[in-house]
Amino acid sequence: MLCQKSFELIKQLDSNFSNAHELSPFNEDNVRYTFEECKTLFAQNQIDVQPVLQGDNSNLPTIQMRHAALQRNKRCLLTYVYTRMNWVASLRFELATVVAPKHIKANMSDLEVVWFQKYSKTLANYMKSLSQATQTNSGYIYPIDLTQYTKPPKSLFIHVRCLKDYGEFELSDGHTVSLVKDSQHYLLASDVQDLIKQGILEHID
Amino acid sequence: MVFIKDAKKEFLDQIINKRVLVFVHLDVDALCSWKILQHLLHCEHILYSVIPINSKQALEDAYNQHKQVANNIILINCGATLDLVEILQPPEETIFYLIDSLRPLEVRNVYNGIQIKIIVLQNELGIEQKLVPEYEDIFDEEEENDEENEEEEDGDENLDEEEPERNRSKRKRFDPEYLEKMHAKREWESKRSKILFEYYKYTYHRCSSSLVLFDLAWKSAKDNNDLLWWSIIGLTEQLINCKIDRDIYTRYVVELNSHVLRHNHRPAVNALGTSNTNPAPDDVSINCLKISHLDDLNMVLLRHWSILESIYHSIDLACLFKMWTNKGKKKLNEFLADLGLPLNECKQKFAYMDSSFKNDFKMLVASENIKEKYRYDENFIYLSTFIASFGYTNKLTAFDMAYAVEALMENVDGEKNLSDKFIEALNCLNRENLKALECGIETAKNHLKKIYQQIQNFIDMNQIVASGPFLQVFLEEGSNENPFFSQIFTSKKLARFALQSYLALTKGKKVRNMPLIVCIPLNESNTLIAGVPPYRATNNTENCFGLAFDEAAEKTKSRVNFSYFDTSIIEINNEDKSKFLDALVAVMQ
Repeated sequence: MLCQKSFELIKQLDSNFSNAHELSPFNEDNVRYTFEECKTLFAQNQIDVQPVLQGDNSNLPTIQMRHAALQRNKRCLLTYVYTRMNWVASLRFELATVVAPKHIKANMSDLEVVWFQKYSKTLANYMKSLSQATQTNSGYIYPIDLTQYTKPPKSLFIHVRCLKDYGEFELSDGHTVSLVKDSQHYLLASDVQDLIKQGILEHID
Repeated sequence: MVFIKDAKKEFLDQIINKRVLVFVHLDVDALCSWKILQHLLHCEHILYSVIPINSKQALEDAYNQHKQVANNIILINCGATLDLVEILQPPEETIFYLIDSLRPLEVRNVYNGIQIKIIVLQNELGIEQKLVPEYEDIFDEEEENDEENEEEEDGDENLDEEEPERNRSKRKRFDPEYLEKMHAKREWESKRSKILFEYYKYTYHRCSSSLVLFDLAWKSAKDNNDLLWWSIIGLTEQLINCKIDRDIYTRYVVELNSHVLRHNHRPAVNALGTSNTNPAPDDVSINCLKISHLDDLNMVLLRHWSILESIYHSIDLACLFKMWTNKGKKKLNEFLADLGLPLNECKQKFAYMDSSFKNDFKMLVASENIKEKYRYDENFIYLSTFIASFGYTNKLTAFDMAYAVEALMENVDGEKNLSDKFIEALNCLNRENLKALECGIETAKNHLKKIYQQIQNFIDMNQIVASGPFLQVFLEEGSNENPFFSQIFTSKKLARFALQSYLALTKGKKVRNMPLIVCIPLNESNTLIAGVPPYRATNNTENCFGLAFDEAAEKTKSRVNFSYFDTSIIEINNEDKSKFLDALVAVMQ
């Protein structure tokens, strides 16, 4: 049956997203098979299209069917590649590393690996340019890490609740707070972002 | 006097750009106050740490844990009755701001002047000042100086030989001037102890903290409908827990009503207080909070319950019908029949009742013949309150809110600690959080049912007995409900309801003026005792048990723990219980 392999690619994507931190291996076989299928279909259409040009319409439905199959294969392939690309891009934000972990890298195609490197480079350049824009008169550059702040904050300060005993914590203004279990504080969001990620603090409204 | 005269200048402006540490007592008024204060702090970008507390010990512990965080400490509904400097030993630069509705204030706090500042309603500054004894009457600066001098002298004298010292003391003893001075001092001392006794005799509450803070918000032009709603809830809680009586409540309601009219006057400002650019009257979004004054029926959670159940659990109405007897239940049915309400309508939720009955109900209960037959007046059946509406939900009265929030705080759930309850109750006050509110109302219903059942038990078993000058009632040991009844406000509510129901069923004149104590076993070794003042229609808020408990404990040397800020609730060791109660009888007479 036509387009079966390309459909399998899409199904594979579906299972890939059910577990978020695993990338299934790049299915080179199916991709190549689909390419071959496309080539064959195109070649057959090229042959069958000649009588049509001379006014014989008996082959027309076959040609249209083949063309639809071609279109579908194209769409499936593009979806497969594009979705994987987005996933790899999100990897950069989630893991905040320039080097992909080994088990993921093993499942990426060569082109994907190259693309990831380029993407990381572009992002780094962009962040650098942003950081330079913050340069104040005193010459201090405030480093901006886009992977840290993916959402714009609603306010500079947030109300947090302490989930574990942490002890003294020094804020950027030099004051200290004692983070004792169940105490609640109103602090600068940038100070406590890390602690929230570590699960020591909880953001409450 | 350290009452703050201008709360904005002397309190809010002082803490800008500083870190503050806030201790919040776990009661509805304190939570509402905290919500208002939180809004003010957010407006000024003031960083804070907040810690909920429920007992004196918790305050001390929390203070010691967090004291290095900030030098500006705000206490809401806790600590004004304690000698803070003595108990907490704060460093000199620490400043306490007290907002507390509990009275009498500790005189040392009032006259501290430097470290402790008390914030009260500005209109009532004069009254508050009059309540506290004059400085000259209770503190004697000369005497303190004298003592210091004497000590110094003593120190010197010890170094000298003994002879001159004896001469000196002799000279002192026969010097008429000195004797006169001593006499005057003794007189002054007896006067002082009398004044202090009068001052500390009763514990009572004054204006709710949430009103004080709303006043501050208003004067700093930061008030909005939400803040107003919270201050209304805070005030309502005071009435529910009999912290203030009806007259005072009504006075504050009138005062708040002017704010309500101001904020809900169309074209309205929206609920967040940001100015509404489009003042067309119909443009007020459905999601905005709208508050209006209402003379509501004096029935608990009526909008979320059925009429029948609501009447059962409203203590005033239950006492009117003497609901705990068979006759009473019949009388209630008769009452409903007189109103022309079919019983099956009364049994279903008020919200789903036939609207024609619903509309008539409110008018009918106040009709002349009904009032005459059942002997009550309009003040009894109507209660002036405020009602809020937002979004597409049921309308809520301030009473519903106060009951719901309190129920969440008094809920006994092994897994939830103080902080969980605090957050849950605060969530309930956020009006976006309808789920928490619903949960709160259901819990409140459960609590009222439990209290009703317990009172039925008291009455069936004749457990409320007079013992000398007061009534007492004991809960059975080992009951599953004891942890629930031993919550601060529930214990008092139980005591108050027990007293009121006892009075409704007993004819004797003598018992009319009796207070009541309820003893709730906590565990094998401790019992909680809560006392409520005699039930009167007005002025039933002054509680004399604080001092009486103290005296009885001192006389018998009982192991008593005054763990709560409200001194009319104590924890006592079981072994000392009987002798303590005997002594209490003696003290009260």
